[in-house]
Amino acid sequence: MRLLASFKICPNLELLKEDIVVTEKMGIDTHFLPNIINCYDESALELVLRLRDKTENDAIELSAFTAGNEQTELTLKSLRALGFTHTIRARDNQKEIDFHPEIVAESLASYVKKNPQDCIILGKEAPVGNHGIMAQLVAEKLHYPSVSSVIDIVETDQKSVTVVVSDEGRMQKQTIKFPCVICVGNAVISKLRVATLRERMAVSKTESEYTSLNYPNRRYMVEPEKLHPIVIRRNCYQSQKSGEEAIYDVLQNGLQKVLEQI
Amino acid sequence: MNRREEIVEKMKQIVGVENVVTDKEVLEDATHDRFRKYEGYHKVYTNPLPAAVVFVNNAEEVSSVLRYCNAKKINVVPRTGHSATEGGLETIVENSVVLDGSHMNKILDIDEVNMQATAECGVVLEDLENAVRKLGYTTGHSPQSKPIAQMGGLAATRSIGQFSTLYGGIEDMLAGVETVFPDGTICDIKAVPRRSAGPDIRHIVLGNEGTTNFITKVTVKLWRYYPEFHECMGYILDDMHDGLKIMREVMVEGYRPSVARLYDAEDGKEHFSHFAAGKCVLLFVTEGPELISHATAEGIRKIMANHPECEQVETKLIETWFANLNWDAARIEEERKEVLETNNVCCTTEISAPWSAVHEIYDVCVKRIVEEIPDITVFGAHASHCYPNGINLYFVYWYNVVDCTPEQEITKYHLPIKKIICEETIKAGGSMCHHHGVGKHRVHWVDQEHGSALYMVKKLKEAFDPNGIMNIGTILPYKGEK
Amino acid sequence: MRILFVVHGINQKGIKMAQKKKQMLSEQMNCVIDSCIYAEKKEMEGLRLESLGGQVYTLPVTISATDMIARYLFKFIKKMQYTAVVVADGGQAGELAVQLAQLLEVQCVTAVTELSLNKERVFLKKMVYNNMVCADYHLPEEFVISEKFAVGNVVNKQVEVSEIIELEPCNVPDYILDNIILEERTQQMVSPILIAVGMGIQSKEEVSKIREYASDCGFSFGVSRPVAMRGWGDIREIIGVSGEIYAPQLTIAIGISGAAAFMIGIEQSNYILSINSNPDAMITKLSDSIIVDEYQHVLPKLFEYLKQWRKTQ
Repeated sequence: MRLLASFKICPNLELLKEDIVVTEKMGIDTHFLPNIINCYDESALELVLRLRDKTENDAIELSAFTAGNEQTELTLKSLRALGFTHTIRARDNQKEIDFHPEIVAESLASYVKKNPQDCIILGKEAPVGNHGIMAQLVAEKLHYPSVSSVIDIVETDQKSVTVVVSDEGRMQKQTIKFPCVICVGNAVISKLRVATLRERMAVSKTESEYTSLNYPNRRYMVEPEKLHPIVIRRNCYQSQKSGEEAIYDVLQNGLQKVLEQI
Repeated sequence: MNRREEIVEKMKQIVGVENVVTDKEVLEDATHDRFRKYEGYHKVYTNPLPAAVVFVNNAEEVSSVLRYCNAKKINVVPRTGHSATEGGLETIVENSVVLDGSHMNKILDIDEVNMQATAECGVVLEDLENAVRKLGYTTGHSPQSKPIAQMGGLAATRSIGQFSTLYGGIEDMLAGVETVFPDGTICDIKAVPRRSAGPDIRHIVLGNEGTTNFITKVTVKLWRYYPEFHECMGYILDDMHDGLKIMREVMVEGYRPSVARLYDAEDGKEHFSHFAAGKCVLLFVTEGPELISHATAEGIRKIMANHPECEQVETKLIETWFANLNWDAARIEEERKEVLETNNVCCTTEISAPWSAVHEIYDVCVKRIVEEIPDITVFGAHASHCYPNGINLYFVYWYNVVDCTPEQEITKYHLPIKKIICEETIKAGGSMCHHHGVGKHRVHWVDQEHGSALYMVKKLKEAFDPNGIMNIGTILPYKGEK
Repeated sequence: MRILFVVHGINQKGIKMAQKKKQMLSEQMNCVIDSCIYAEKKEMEGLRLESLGGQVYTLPVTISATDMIARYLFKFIKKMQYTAVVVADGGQAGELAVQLAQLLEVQCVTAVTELSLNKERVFLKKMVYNNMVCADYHLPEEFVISEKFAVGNVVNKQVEVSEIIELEPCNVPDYILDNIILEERTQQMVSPILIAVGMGIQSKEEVSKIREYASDCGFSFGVSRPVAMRGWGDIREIIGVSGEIYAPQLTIAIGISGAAAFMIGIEQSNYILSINSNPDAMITKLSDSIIVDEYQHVLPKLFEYLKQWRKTQ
């Protein structure tokens, strides 16, 4: 059985406070921010490893795919140390993919067509574009069915996979026939395990496999024309009091009126 | 009434019913500090529950509580911010009283003429710092625990902060202090610039880790704050040893940046992989009045220009990292989730060493721990406090907890790692604890640490806590066990 | 331009919201808009769709598998010659939009916050960089989008009665071998007051206490994503980019830092009161008022006050 997890390395936007600068290349400057695995993809990677743990190890071959530059290599190496047999990087040194999940989807689909997989697992969306369309694009290109809003991967019998789906408040357990694309949403399991030094040393001489980016028909690709930082401000009344006194203070300074209008 | 109930009843009489907490969850939480965080996250509590957590509101209440406990031979564990990392807050005997000063949280005075601020022991350092910053000053004290740690604990553990190379550690900042001894005596050491009136008794209080007295009030020095003149420099290089030599050169030449930090590639990986993958990172920050900050920065740049092995990196990379370094409650909660999900734990051991010994200590510790300890995921170090006569090394290590129960974790991993680091450091002529305190888990080596001077440490304990009721098992081993 | 507005009809609240959005859409796009509601038969039975106005089609589904629904809708859209599709915000709106766009071979943008027609060009806005940046797009007249419109202040207008036509039902796709419902949807509280809880709340028990209080008073309740990811809240309670978007009269944000990805969930509030012990928290600039204090010192009295106020309503 062959499982492929696709992930994106992105800047840690939680550390971006107010210095948002739009660059000429239609992006914002994030080079000074550390990188992290996109949180939904991180869940996907860990869920895949847990699925492998639950199944006979040699029955599952794991692959991990990403598109990006050299900064992804550290994560790819860690994934090899954790047991991903193949780690594939579609080289993107020009940061073309930031607003173009279509390119990543095309590249991933192209890889899978040459290296068939039973199940492709990825997170539902990632900054910077927050498009949330990768899974469906990949599924359509491969003519695989896709299931989204997956919050847990329960088990596999090598011909299908059972997942838990959170569909607008309803939780359901679905068994999906292979091949398929699984799109992970707000899974509570969200932290990827850590490879030991020895595991990392064991793969120190291994390398990622590389492929180039593939481009879909540009007619269907959408690009933003302009970016502008969002500046939302309210005139905040900060109470100088504390506890109960503060409550009466804010009531007198605007909150009471709001309650009267409700 | 059994002994526990008797203690609780007496505490209520002294501090009031509302200030005595006996909720099971609170008591469980009070049995440990961040040393046993893995157990705590799994809600496993290996230490006996205290009789109560007692919140005090003034020095007189502290005095009454200590007098009672002294007479009844009840172990007292002083506590403020609960951010200790070496087991100093563990309640290792039955029916302890955890004496918590966090309700004493008033900033009493900011004296702009004499450049001093006085705060009760429960004031959070970040709150004090924010208050003085509004007036254009800084305490100069900035440990990573700043958002949580409180003034009493910071003094009791001889803490140090990120800007120590300029401002010093708490021992350089503390001008005066009020503290209470087990027999109930309240002592107020006045804040003066300097004096020669016998030994410096502030040092009986500083670093006592709650083993001889309970700190109720501190007066710390202030400096004018000039954020506009901060200058930040970062460099990447291949070799940690080269970095250590450069740090020494900067210090010996006479420069005093506020920050001088060096990360090896392993520890650096956690912070700087977006621009320094596989490299060591060396960084400096200078601050103070414009001329001094600038001259210091220029001096360092001149030194660095003579080191072609170092490549300068963009300032913004370092500034962003620095702005997000401190730990707050949300980050601790994030850690809890990560530990529970991944079983991957991060711990630290910080040492100090003279320049001549630090290289050897670094090499042997890295070698031995990687070879001897299983399941290590990261073992690295950074140097974050520099002196003309040496430097500290802050070993940072992560390991997967594999095939062991939460209560076995420290025996399988943390203590063996600490043993290697402490023994190798002492053997090479360094100190096994730079700024976190001995706590309860480095007591095994305190005799080697002090050598013949252990006599002085023991005498202090005998003199001020003859009944042995203050934080049993801290600094000195409990009942002589190693 | 002929636009089809596609809505997942899980409850009446959703239909009410869809009606407002459709009204906004037809004013901005200056064209007639038909609606297509897809839902399971038992959910559809409870819905009053007349309020949507205009032509309303219903598509009964056995399971909400978006790729199957996309294939059904594709044939319908082609037959009826719609030039554009707007998928109403919902759990799988983006997925459905992308699948439709692939089949129709047109451009697609998801989570669109504004849409308008300007000199025969379609102009839209979308949040990127986790809601810190707004991106402007232009699309040709043939497109598919999923929307995340702000409708806080839209007042429902009287509409002409709808003609409701049922389409051929959508079957269970053959790739779903089994489907077991573990937990059914609960009726969402609709209230002018939202209580939102973030990581400043220090334990699961305290989150539960606040939830209970909100429920007793009939207020809406939600959590930030980190709170849910710690298991202290349900993922269905998430507010923000990865959860629900609210537009209440009053939001009380307790222990919320103000991260952009969360704020999109409450920024349409008429009034935001924050309770936070950190005076420098980002939410200070994003609130109408803030009490800087430990929440434990404030909430008991605040809740008591609001309970009394609630009784007078």
